[in-house]
Amino acid sequence: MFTRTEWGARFKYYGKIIVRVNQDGKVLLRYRRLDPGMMTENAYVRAVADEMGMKYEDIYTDTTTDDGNFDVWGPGGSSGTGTNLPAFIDGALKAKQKILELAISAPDYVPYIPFEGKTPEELDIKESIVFEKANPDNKKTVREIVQIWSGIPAYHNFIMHNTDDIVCVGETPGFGWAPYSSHLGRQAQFAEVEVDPDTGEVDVKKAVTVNGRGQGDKS
Amino acid sequence: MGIGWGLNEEVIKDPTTGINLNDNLIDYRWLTMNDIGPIDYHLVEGGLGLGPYGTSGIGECVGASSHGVMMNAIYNAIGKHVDDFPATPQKILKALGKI
Repeated sequence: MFTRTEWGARFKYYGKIIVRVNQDGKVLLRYRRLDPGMMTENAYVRAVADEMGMKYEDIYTDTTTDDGNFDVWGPGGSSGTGTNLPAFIDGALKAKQKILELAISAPDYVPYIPFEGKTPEELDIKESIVFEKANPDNKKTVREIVQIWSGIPAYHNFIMHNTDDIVCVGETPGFGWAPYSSHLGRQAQFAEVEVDPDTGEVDVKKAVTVNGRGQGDKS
Repeated sequence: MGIGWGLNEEVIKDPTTGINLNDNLIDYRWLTMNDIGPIDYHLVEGGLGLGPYGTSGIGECVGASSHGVMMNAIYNAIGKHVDDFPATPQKILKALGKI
């Protein structure tokens, strides 16, 4: 039997985070830390990795303590994970869409378009690689896609385009009532019990706690 | 901890005086290592924690919702909800309509 704790959703908390795809193809997660001491970062990174199709090791975190960076933030403690995690899923989906849109075009000074003639819907990302669904051998790394747009001299020695990194703001959707609404995002619980109907005694056969689970929250 | 909250631990007060009637670890029915089976750990080093060497705590997890999943598992077993912690044998038999 699997259960989820639904704190953030039921109290309609709201959080905002940032998913930034750097010019080196790494993904930075910025957010207000709400759950000191727990392995919440792992859950965030796993969720973003799954949603974006990025490698776990290509994502890193940065906790901000600057109030000016976030105009709203979720509740403190465990409840904060319930608002941040769906916000990260929201941000990851936006960042993935942005990468796929960049993959089908290129700045004027770049001599070729990576996935020319394709649409974002015809592409996907897995293991930090953008590929054509119908022809997986047609592929480019996320880093290559981003660098085409970031002005890396490998593509043009004399022009520095200086396009910003891909920055996507994720928000707790629908104040917790969206399809992937707020749950205590860092853990999952399972239990197997045997109940004696004559005595009412409960025998716990197995109990499993998973920490830092990440994905599985989108339901 | 979560199993204890779900199945055993309960503060019992005298309804007239409010005095705690089980303010010791025997009558409170605190689970000990003798009450549970072997514990397996499977550690995955994420390295993202803010503690030394990227470590972080995990202690709250078992306390946050383990007791809830115990109640769900009991419901799955008997088809009746026990909606009051802890799920003592008496409450389970009451849910089953046997007392």
